[in-house]
Amino acid sequence: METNNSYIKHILFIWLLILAVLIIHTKGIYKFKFLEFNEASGHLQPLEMSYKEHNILGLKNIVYAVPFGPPFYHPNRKDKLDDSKTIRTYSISHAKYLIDNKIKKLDHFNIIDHYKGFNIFTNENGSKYFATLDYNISNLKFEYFKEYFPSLNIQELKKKIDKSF
Amino acid sequence: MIKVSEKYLLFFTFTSIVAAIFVKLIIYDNCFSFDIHDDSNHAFVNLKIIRETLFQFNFSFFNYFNNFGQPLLGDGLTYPFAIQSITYYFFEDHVAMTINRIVISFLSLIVGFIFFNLFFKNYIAVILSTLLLFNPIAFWYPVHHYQLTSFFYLSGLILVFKLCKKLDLKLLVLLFLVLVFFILSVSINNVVFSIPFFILFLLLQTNFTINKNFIIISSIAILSVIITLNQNIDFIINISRAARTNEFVYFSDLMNLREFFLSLIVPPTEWIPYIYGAHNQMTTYYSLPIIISIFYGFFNFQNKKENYKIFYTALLCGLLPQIFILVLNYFHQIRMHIPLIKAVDIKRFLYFSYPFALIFLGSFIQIVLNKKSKLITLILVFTISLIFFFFIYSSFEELEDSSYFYLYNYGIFSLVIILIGISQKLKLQKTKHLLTSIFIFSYFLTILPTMVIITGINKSCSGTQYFANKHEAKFIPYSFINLIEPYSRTIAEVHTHKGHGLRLGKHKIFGGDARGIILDKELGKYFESNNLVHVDQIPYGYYFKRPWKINELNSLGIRYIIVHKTNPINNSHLKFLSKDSGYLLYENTFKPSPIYFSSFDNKKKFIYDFYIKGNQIIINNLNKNNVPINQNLIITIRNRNDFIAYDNTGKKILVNSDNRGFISFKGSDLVGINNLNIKYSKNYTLYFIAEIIVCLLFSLFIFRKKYKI
Repeated sequence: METNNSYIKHILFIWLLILAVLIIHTKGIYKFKFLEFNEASGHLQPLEMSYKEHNILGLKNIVYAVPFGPPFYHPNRKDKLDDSKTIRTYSISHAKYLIDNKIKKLDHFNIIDHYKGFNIFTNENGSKYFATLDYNISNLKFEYFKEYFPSLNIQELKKKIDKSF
Repeated sequence: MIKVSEKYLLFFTFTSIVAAIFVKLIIYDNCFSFDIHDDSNHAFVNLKIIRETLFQFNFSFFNYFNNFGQPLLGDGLTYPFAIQSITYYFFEDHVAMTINRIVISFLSLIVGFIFFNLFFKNYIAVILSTLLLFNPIAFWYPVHHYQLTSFFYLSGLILVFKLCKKLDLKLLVLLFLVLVFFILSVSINNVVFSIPFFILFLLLQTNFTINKNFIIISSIAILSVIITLNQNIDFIINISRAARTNEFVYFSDLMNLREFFLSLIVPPTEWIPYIYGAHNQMTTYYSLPIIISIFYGFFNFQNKKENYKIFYTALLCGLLPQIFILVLNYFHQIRMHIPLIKAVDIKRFLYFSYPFALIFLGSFIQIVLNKKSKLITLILVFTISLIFFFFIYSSFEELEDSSYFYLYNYGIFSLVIILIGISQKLKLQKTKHLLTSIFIFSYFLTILPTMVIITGINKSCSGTQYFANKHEAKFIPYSFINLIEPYSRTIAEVHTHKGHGLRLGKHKIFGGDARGIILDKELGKYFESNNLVHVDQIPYGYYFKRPWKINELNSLGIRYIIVHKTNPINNSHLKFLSKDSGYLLYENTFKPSPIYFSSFDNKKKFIYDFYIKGNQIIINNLNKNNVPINQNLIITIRNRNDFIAYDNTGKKILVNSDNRGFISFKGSDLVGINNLNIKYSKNYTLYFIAEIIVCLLFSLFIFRKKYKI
C-alpha cells in the first residue's frame, strides 16, 4: 500500500508539473518548443478528374496529375511519385499540356519568385513568364492553379501584377 | 478499500489533470469551453426551445425555426432528457457547457479509476484511467451528445461486473438508471455501438452460460430500452426520412499500409500535408509506447490460467475489436459497401474497445515492475523497437517535417524500461523507484500531443471543439438581430457550419439553411432540383444561394438575406439594411412572411399576425383577411404528418400538404375561423402506458420467486 501511495504521489507531481508547464507556455511566459506540434493546413482539391486517364489534383501551390491506377503518394516521397508517373507542375493548363504531349519529365514545379501574393514561373525554354495565386492568399479576382499575366520577362509580369490591384 | 489519505491524493491528481485540460479558461478573457458548431448551432438553440415546452408536460418538441421545421425529441444532436441538459436551466449556455465538461472529465476519471481498479492496484488504475480520458476518439468529442459516453459506459460495466459476482437490488436499480440515462443522454449511434461490448462482457463474466445473473442483468437492459422507446422510435422515423442514411461519409485518406501504420504512432496532422477530415487527423493516434505495451502485455499476460476471464475480456472486448476497427477504417472500399456502417464513423467503436485493450497495458506495467519478469526478453524487445523507430524516423520521408517529440518520447520510454530491468537485476531499489516514475511519466507524454493539438494550446482561445470566446455561442453578427423582425425568415449565403440559419431560432426568427442529422431528404431534393441551394458539406447540408429569384423567395417566406461583404447583392427588390463583421444584411421589399394565402395564379397575401408558443403556431385574426375560399393558406413548415390544427372552439381542421410538402389548408375549411392553432402533436400517452405496462410485467417476470434476489 505504501508503494501504491507513493506512486500516486508521483503521478500527482507529474500532473502538477504538466499543469505548470502548460500555464507558462499558454500564458506566453516561456514557449516550450516541444509543445509546438505541426498541424496540417490546406486542402487536397480535385481540380479535374478523369482527364485522359489522369486525375488532376491541387495541393498548396502544386498541381498533381496522377495516372489511373496508383494512389496519390505523399508529396515528400519523390521516388514513389516518379514510379507512379505522377506529374508535378504549377497550373491545370500546364498539367494538361504535359499529358497531351506525353512529356516524360515529371517534376515541373519550380518557383522563380514570389510577388505580392503570386508565385512566378517560367516555361521550359524560359521564353514566357506567368504567375499563379499563392495558396495562402485569398483574392476573389483570381483562381488558384490558373496562369495569369503571361509576359516576356519578370519585370513586365510584376508591372501587370501591380496594375491588377 | 481506498484509504482516506489516498482519496485526497486521487482527488488532487484528477483535479490537476482536469485543470491541465481546461487551463485556457483561466488564461484568456471570456474564454469558455464549448464547440462553435454542434453546441452553439444545435444543442444551445434546441435545448432553449425544449425548456420552453417541457413544463407544459408535452413531449412533442419541435423547432419551427430551423430548416422549415425539425422535430427535436428524436434529434441526434439535442437529447432533451439528457442529464447534462439540467445545467442549462441554471446557467447561460456557454457557462453550462463549460461546467458540464469540467464535471464530466472529472467523473470520467473517477469511473475509469473504479473500472481499472477491478483488475489492478490503485496507481495502475490511475494511469489507465488517465490514458483512457485521452482516448483520442473520446477526447475529440466533448460535445453535448457525446460527452457522457465513457462515463455511462464504464459505470454500466462496473455494475455488470459487480452484479455478476453477487446480485443486489440496489445495484440493479442503479444499473437500470445508468442505462436509462445512457440512452437519454448519449448519441444513439454510440449507444448502439456499445451493445455488443456489453453483451460480450456479460457473457464472459457468466462463463458463456445463460444463468440467473445473465437473465436479470439483460432484462434490466431491455427494460431501459423499453422505457426510453419514445425518443428512439422518433429517431428511427426521422432518420429513415433523412438524407444522411445512404451517404458514405467517412473516407480514410490513408493511401497504403505504411501510412496506416504511421497514423497509429504519429498523429496524421503532423505528416499528412493537408487537412484530412478534422478528427481523422488525430483519432487514430495511440502512440508507440501504448501500442507496444498493449501487445507485450497480451503476449506475456501473467497467470493466464488464474486470470483467464480478465485475459479473454481484454482480448475479445478490447484488443481484437480495436485492431478490427482500425483496419476496417483503413479499408474504406470495404466499408462503403456495408449498409448502415457506411453512414457512420466506425472509429466510434473505439470508445468501447479501448478501455478493455488498456487492461493489457496494465498487465504490462505489472510485468515491468515484477521482480520475476523475463528481463532479457524485455530488454531485447525494447532495444530492437527503439532502433526500429529510429530507423522509421530517419528513413520515412513523410516524417521529414514532423516533430521529434514522438521519437524522444519512445526513447525515454524504452530506455527507462531497459534501466528498470538492469536496476532490478542489480537490486537497486531506490533507483528502480525513480525510474518507475519516469516510466509512468513517459506514458503521460504520449497523450500530450492529443491534449495540445485538440485543445489548441497554441491557438489562443480557440481550437477545434474545446474553446471559444463567449460571443461565439450567439448569432454573429449580433447587431443584425435588432434589425430582423421576429417570426420572419432569414437565410444566409454562408457555409452552414457557421450556423446562421440555426442560431436564429433562439431569437424566434426562422432560418433556412440545413445542417443536422435528421434533415429531410425530400425537401433538400426539391431545393436542389430548383437550383435554390448549394450543398456545402458531407454529411448533407446546404445553404440558399443566388441567383435570388424574388418569386421563389416570396413563396418560401424569405424576407432577409445575409451575404459576405465581398459578394454584395445587386437587386432592386433586395434593400441593403446593414453591415457588420464582414456580413451584409438585405431585406426583401415585398416583406414576405412564412405564412400566407396563395391563389392559383400564385398571388400571395402574407399573414403577420401569428406567434409560436412551444410546439404551436397560433394565427390570430384570420377573419380580418376575408379568408378567400378558392385560395390555400400555406405555412412554410414541412408537413411531417404529425400536425393537428383546430380553431379556438377546439374544432379540428384538416391539415394538407402543398406540392413542396409544406403545411397547407384549403380556404374553404377556414371560413368563419378567426384563430387557427397548428400543433406538432405526437401522441406519446399510449406509448407511455404501454411502456409502463410492459415494464411492470417484465419486472414481475424478473423478480418472481425463481429469480429471487
